[in-house]
Amino acid sequence: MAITTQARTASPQPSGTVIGAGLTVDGEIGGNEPLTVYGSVKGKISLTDIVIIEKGSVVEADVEASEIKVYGSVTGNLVATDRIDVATNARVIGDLRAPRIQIAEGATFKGHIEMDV
Amino acid sequence: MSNATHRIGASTRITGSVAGSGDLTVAGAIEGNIQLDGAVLLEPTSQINGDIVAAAIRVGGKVIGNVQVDDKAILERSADLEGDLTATSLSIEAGAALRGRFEANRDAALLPPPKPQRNAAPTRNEVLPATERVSRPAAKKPATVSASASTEQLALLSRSPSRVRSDEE
Repeated sequence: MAITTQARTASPQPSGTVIGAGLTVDGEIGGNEPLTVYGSVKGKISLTDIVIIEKGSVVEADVEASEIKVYGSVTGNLVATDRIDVATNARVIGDLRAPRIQIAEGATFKGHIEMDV
Repeated sequence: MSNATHRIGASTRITGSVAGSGDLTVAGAIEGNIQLDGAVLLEPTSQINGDIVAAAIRVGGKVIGNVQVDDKAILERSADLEGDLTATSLSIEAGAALRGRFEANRDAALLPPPKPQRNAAPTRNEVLPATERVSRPAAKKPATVSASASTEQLALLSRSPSRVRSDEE
């Protein structure tokens, strides 16, 4: 079952929307292109594409996307239609919901996990 | 760090405020205020509904709201600005629409051009003069490290001067 997802695991280039370090977005971000966050987002993220929360970023928002990769810090619920990856040294406080979920060793996580099939 | 560059893609919409440091390029839509200590580049597809405060701005899209920049404002031919504009200098290309008042930042205009200092973080007013140095082929010294980080963005701001008209109205 996981085999089909292997093709997508090549790390995507930062394209689409980039919230760089030093920028704070307070509100809702929506759209259908990739979002990469190095800065700060407070509110809500609702995309139909991948969301990458990079190391050093601070996200206090509920996140809905097709795929969510967390390398930084998130406080909020994460819902993905495809998969959620929480990387080593990432920090997530909130519930995870996705068909496929991966939490790396060394990640900090507090919340519930729901894998709806 | 004020050298980060931020981009809001064409199919992204932000409802809320955007604030911080660095240069921002917008191709999508923002419903809310923008407050930045760097340059703002609004591409032709952009749509802003809110006030903008920044160091400099280049408008190619549609803005409904007041714009206040410390330095240069450029309205491209595709620009449509509905609101008041405050800047040190203004360039309007033929075809741009401005519905609102323009107010010159006279205090800033009378200041001598700032001299770049070693090890000093760039101030707002250094942003555009640095561009001019960069765009001259025979610049004596390279711009300071901190100023050159956003050269690409700044080059965009200073491109095609021949098309820019200065008929301020």
